Amino acid sequence: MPCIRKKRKQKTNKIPERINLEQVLREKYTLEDFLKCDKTREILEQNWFYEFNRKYEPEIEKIYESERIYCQENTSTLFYYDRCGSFVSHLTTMLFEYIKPRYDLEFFYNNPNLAKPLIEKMKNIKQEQEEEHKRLIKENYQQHQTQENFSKESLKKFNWEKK
Amino acid sequence: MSVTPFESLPPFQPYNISVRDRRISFYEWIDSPIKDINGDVEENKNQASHSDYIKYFNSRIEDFLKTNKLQINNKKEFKNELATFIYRTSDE
Repeated sequence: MPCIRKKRKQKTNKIPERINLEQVLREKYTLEDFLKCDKTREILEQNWFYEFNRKYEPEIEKIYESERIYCQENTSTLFYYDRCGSFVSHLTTMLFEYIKPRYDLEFFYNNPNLAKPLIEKMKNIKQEQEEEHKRLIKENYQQHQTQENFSKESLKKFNWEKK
Repeated sequence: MSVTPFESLPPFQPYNISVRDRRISFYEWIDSPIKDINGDVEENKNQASHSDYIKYFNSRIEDFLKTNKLQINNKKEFKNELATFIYRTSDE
């Protein structure tokens, strides 16, 4: 006898397509975009400042100290007024101002949630651009129509009797 | 009375020593020879001037930046700033 039991509909677990934010950030946004958004730019600048302080500043201080100590030992005219290396911060600050910053986007790829203000901003920009585009089309259409009406009216006024 | 010649900046003021007034301008200082305990400093049998040292120090910084793949935005302006910094930490 055939089985009359109805086949239960198997629940298909619909896995919602997870939007991989990291991938979106990697593919759609450039460094310039990150710098255009105030919040992401601030993070990038802070990270660069931190990296400079941690990685490069001690090395620059080492170079300066080796030179300063050598000059001090020989009572040179050079660095005469920096007896204990207290002016090195002038040099590091100056270098920080002149060095081309090296912004690291990996930080956002590892913490994509921090880039949400950028995504929202870009959405708003896109929306604004679309609205602007629609407005221009509407304006163009209206202009075209008024021109058409004008030409029709001019045709109406044409005196055929004179012809 | 303090006398600071035209085109010269006073040295940085350290907390533990008094600072001498400048008697020569920055341009005179940069061409003047470096002096130490043995008198004028020589390099390759030539008198080494402060400008030579600034070039040397700048090259050390540039080498460091190169090895770390860093770049300077305005090299000429940076060199001027560096020269001013060394001038202000140095004696005549």
